[in-house]
Amino acid sequence: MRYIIIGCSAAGISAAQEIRKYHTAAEIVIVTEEHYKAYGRPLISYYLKDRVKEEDIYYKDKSFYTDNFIYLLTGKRVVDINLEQKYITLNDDKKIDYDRLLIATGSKPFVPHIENAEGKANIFTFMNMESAKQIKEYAKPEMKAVVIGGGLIGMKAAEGLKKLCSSVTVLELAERILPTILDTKASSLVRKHSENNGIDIITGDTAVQLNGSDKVESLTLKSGKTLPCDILIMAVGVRPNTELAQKAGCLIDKGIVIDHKMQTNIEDIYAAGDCALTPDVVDGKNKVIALWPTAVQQGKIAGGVMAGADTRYEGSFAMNAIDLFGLHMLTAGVIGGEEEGYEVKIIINDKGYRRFSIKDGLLKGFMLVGDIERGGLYTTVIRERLPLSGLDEEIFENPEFISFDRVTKEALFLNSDAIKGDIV
Amino acid sequence: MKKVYAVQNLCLNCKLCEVYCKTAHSQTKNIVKAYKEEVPEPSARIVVEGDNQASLALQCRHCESPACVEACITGAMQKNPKTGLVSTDETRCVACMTCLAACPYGIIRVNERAAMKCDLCQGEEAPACVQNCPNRALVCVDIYEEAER
Repeated sequence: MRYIIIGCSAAGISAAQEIRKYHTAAEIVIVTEEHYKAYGRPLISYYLKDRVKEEDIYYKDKSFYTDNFIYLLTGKRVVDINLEQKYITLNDDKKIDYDRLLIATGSKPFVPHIENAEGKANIFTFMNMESAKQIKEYAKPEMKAVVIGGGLIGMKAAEGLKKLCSSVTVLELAERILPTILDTKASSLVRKHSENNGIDIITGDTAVQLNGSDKVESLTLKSGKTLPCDILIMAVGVRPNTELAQKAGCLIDKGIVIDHKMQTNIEDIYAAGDCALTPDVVDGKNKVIALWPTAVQQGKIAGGVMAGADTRYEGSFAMNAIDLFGLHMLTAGVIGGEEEGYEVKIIINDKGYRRFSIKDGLLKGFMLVGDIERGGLYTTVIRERLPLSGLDEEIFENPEFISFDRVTKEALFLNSDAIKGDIV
Repeated sequence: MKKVYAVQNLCLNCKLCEVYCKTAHSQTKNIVKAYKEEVPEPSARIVVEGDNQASLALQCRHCESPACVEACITGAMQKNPKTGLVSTDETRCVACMTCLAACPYGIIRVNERAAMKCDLCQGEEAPACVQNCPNRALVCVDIYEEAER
């Protein structure tokens, strides 16, 4: 039996690990386009700001691959999947047979069209170690850096760049930064904190044209303003990397469509991680949840199923932990505004800002900015669908009250070895 | 492996376990210095929750299938396959706190240097919280031995 895994990051590694648990003798091959062994992809911003050295980015020990008998092919791209004879073709024309195949190709940066962006030497994306190294090499203290996109990747890129360049400007099309995970109030707190740490932020505006010949020298904004620029980072967003799957005939709907077994519409081809379309258990919608823990979890289930385990994937929900210039944030589930029928609870005190979105008597989402202690308990309330009617009224002020039944004051689940399920 | 269990009706909410945990995880192992002098300030990895009516001391449950390990972006958080201990390599942790978001008990503590969690006081006879609980509300059980009995 030979398993081939395309992609060597969160989902791919966790699948390989899981397959090995069940099958000691099976051949496991991981093919990756990157020239690196699996590394903590979100660490690239920590690498940029010198919190992590290049040699410390690796997700697994060197011995992991040999101990688990994993054949790792780095720097190789899979160009074709032959479904009839079940083999993949690499960019060097080598062919490898498979019995079961996992597509864990992740996501790729989305680069919107901007006038005069072609062939500029100082435009970078911020998605992998390669790009982080290029940025670090290119950036100089006297440079003016511009980051297009004020989402997670853009803000983390800006934080890192601040260590390298004296001037960093974030340009966000929406009216607020981190628009997909924070509401207006939380976003303005984070904005203020980032500005206090030297980041210039422009919202509600975007670049329509780049100026300069072989290098970007400035950006012309929609508002008509001109923004000087020596180094430009494109961090508008990511898209599932589905090209290969699509070519092979997999059903695509934003991401690769999979079933509860993580299998695509093609037999023996599975998908997991950022490239897969999965159900969001909070709002029931199918979406691409491009987050590290979700990818690990999906990879684990895919690996298990591929190796014959009887597991089922029920879905995930978004969960983010972000730190920007020492300010911690935790968010999970949906933002859920009143206009969408959610009851919203907001708590502001000297420790920070908290917002909760409630529907049908259940917690559907939260954001904590500043004080995040015990925040995982709120994730439990979402994940386990604990009815709020059974919990203490004080849980929004103080998460530890989640541990006790509001009437009997009995500890609900905290003394158990582990409440059922993992991050589902 | 060993596990610490809390007995809810014996817990007095005195929080001495927090004091001794913090001291045990300090550099000097001295209560006064741990609280007043040490930089960085050590963290207690156990928390007493609740109030005088109902309270319970809680620390890492060293889960069978730990959500924190799955969530860790660096690979620093790992479960030892032999001992079952879930621990974080503080030199590799970047304190992003994704583990805290994922932990069903939210029991990983925030620290600028690294995520802080219960290590069951490795090398000691029994965890400091258990040794110093005045009302024996914390018990240390070897769950494998327990299963064999």
